[in-house]
Amino acid sequence: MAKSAGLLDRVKRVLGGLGISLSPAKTSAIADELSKKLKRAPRIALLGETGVGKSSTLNALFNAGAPIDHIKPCTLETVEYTVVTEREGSHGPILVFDMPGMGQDLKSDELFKKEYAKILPTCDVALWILDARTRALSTAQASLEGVVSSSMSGLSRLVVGVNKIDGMEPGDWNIRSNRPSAQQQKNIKARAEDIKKRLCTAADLDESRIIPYSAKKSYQLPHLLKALMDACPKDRQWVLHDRIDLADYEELVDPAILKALKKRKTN
Amino acid sequence: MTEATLLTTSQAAEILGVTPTWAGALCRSGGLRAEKKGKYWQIEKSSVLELAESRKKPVPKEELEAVDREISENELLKEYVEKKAEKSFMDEVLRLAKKYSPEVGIILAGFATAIFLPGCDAGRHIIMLGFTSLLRKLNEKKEELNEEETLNEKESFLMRLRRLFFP
Repeated sequence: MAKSAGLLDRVKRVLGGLGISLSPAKTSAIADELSKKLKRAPRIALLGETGVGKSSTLNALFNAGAPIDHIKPCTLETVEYTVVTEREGSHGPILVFDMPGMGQDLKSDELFKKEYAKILPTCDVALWILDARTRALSTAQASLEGVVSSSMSGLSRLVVGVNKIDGMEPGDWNIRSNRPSAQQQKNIKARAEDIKKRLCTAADLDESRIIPYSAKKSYQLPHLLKALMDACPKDRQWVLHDRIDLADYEELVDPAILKALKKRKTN
Repeated sequence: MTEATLLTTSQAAEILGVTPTWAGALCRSGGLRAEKKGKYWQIEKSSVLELAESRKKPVPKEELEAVDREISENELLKEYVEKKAEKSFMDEVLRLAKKYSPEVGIILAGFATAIFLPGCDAGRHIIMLGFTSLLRKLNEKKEELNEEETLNEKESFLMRLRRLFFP
């Protein structure tokens, strides 16, 4: 009840700001239509091998815990290879399509291509997660060139997240400031450039959609979120934003550092 | 690992001189070597002592500034995302309002007429009709909501727009 009342107030504020005057009945009707759109959970296609940090990324973005249930949404035809789960984030449910990986063998790839073609166009965004510590990109490249691009009519809705940058060599993440060490920063930059060069030349993917981050350390999550919002269709951006509950980088920073910064600002 | 070498979050927090919340966050993020047993963390004492030792050293100025920049950049990005979401919401409201508001539709129809039939005066009159209706509703809203200041601004904006087309 509180959420719909909040939506009605938001609609009234927007209409007032635009100088549009409608009757209470019409304003309520608009709020009702928006409420229906809000109930339709954001659909996120998740691509990436086991262990790259898909669940921890969803947790970091949406505070989405364990899946509610394994469901096959009735609006879709049967999907055989994709695991579809509805996850309850702290701000509402999201629908996650855990896509099968490509590049294992030709027969599977052909089957998976059909799956991609069926599911990806129905999703708001596709998030492809890579492990920053792994150099191999050939399977990712192959999939990107053919499948994702044709399924989503280009790559405008794809974001490539390069996770686990906290584990990059030499592994001396600064615990107190929750930031990469100087050497790690150089390696992260080099790795990101390498990924951009290999993926962006293989396909028409914007470099700004490749985001190094660490879900575990809540590091650079706003950058990832920005890329997801930019990739999301305009009419669904407000719905996606509604579900966001971003893990806070500052929560992991040494309180003594935050105190020192606060003191600097007041002096 | 013996029990004597394992600490709870409260014990770790006491040694570090911080809140158990931050100690728990460090356990989750791998900043402290720890294992979860049921609901509780078991933290390696050596890990806590290492961190305690490093906390005795002052944080270099460059690192402080880097954290400050990180926080500021995050704030700007969050603001960007919020504005984008707000714009998306406004566009949706406006799209739906056009369905329900004859005035907006009338004004847009007037513009279309003026563009495609430039010699014809009908377009200007249709736009005038739309603006007049909007101004009337704005006055009704002022009385209803007592939001004179904000609505006065909107009224003067609409009147300026109307004068633009009908000098």
